[in-house]
Amino acid sequence: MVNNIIEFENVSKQYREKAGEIVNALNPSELSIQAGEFFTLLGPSGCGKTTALRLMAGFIQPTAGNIKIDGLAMNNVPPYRRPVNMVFQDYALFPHLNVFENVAFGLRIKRTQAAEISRRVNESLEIVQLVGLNNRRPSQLSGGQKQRVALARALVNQPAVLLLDEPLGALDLKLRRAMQLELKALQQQVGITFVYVTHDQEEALTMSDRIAVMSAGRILQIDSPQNIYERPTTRFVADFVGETNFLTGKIKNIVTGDYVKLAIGNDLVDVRHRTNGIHPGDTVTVAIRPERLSLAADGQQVEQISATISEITYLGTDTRYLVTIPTGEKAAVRVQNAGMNRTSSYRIGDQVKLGYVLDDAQILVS
Amino acid sequence: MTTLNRKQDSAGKTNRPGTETKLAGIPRTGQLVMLVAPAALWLIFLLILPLITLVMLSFQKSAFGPDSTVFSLNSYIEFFRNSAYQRLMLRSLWISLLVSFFTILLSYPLAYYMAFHGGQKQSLMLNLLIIPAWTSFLLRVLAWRVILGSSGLLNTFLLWIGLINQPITGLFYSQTAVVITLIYIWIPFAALPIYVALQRIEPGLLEAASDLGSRPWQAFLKVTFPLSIPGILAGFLFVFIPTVGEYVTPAMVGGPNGLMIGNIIWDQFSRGLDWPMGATLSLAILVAVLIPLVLAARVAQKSGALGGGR
Ligand SMILES: Nc1ncnc2c1ncn2[C@@H]1O[C@H](COP(=O)(O)OP(=O)(O)OP(=O)(O)O)[C@@H](O)[C@H]1O
Ligand SMILES: [Mg+2]
Repeated sequence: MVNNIIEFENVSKQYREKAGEIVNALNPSELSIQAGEFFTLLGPSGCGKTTALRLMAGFIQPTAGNIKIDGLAMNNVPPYRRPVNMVFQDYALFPHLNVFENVAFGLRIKRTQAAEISRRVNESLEIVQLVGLNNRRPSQLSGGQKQRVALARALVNQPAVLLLDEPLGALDLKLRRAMQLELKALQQQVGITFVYVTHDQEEALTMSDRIAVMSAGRILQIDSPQNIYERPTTRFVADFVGETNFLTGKIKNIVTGDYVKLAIGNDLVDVRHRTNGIHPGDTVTVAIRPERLSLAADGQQVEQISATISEITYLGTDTRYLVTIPTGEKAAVRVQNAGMNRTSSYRIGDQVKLGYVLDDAQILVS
Repeated sequence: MTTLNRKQDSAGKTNRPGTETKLAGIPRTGQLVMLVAPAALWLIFLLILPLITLVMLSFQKSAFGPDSTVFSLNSYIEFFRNSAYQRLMLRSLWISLLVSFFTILLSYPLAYYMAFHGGQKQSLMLNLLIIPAWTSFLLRVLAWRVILGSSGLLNTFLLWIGLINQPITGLFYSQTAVVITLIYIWIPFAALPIYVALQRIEPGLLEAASDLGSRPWQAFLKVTFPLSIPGILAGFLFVFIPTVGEYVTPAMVGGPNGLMIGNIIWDQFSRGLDWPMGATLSLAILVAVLIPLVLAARVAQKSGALGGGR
């Protein structure tokens, strides 16, 4: 049986504004986070990520529903009695304490012996690769160093779950990329469950074991990075994570569990059957990634849609074509500039066939 | 009063290097003189000149007549010889310490409540705190005569509820009366800097403390209180310094036992006409006040509470 470290049972959160207005920050949601996984909450600003994290930490109480941590109900359990620790978005380091004392804070509260405090604090600072700065104040640290202190301050308590609220948000792009890899490696090393909040889809894809994509206070899809990218179930997820083409099609027939036959433009194509609740005659949206589309059939068994090239953009590694299908809908196609495709032989106005492999198209739930 | 918020550090950053531009036609040095002049004049006329006058006066044999140009150490000898002056001086310092201590003790919960539980009513409460300071100082002291006097409000009330059957007379014209009155008067002055310090504490820090296992009282001791020390020190100085030289309150509610060094200085200048002695005593207060000031600065520096903010 899988051990769920955090469970949301129908959890919702409403904020009451001054004017009496109610903000639905989190609509009733189900969520199970497994012990030891790197779990990411991904979504645009204001979708309720921080709210979900603060519910886990105990800074706010759910309006309805139950939260369980390690199987125990957390209703009315204050933050200081929960086996979780948080890395705050702005780090929230104590300005009056030096690096060592910041990290030692949790252990001192628990009245750990001085020798052990010293050992564990130094050990944590080594894990986050921050040595020799023990006596510095937070005001004397760089952004990246503060971030490491915040991480060490949480890790030193050996929590069951580490909650991280956009911890890399304040760093520049280069440091961000480096820290992403470090954090992922660190998580595998210490084996603690990470619940990670970000609005950066690339970050979510590279770091996570599983991702929950959120929008407007709703969890839309929980899946592995690969499935989130390749098998988005909703238009929002397909659109938010990477670039996607949306084509409208009409269902001709369904071979359950195998494929769906669709009319797109003037052509009949097949799409793998993975979506429930669709029927012959329905008009549906099909999502296909630009790099999974090809121009003209090259011997493989592919589905084909006729189209006209309306724009060509050279991007160095790739060439991006914008094509128009007979219905008037546009689609982007990305072709790598390598091998046979090294030089583009197409011109604007050329009639082409858009090809894709059966598995690469996804019918979205409306 | 809503402008009392966290943006304290922006003030110092306006004169960035590289932004200096040459004003039309005025040379650099001229500009510098113009910039510094107002502050320099202010310092010279309001601080340095009076201080020099005071020092010179203290070494004169007399303030008036032919003796006024004669150098003399008489006042200093008198100050060290006459133990009455020293006792009065110590008493003034003691009263100031008591007043400062209790003022801060009472102001802290007030400031804490305003900063953390004031919610929308913060500016209203701030105004309520400050409004009494708009009325005359004298009036506020007199109000305590009405309260503490032998037929005053307090005695009347205590008699009425039957807690006492004789009016307490010791309350009025005593050191206690001076201390109580001054505490009342200074509370806004101590509460404000403490309030500002508490208000500047990021709520995230208290959440972090809670997240790291602190119960509310532990978070107070380890985070809130240390971060409010600059406010406490400022409040302490705001109260301590003016209290040492106080003469109005002791004159009005102090009686013979409540007299402070300020009253004697007042006497020297008005009735006794011994201005050199008055000047000497004033300088003695100055030195006595400088000591806790330097100590407070030391403490602040050591705790890193001032300056090294974030
Ligand atoms: N204390 C509060 N009172 C009222 N509304 C709030 C409060 N906190 C958050 N909200 C609202 O709840 C919604 C979700 O907020 P939340 O902070 O969870 O978003 P988020 O996904 O973390 O966004 P971001 O990426 O910008 O941090 C927002 O509409 C926000 O305005
Ligand atoms: Mg947030």
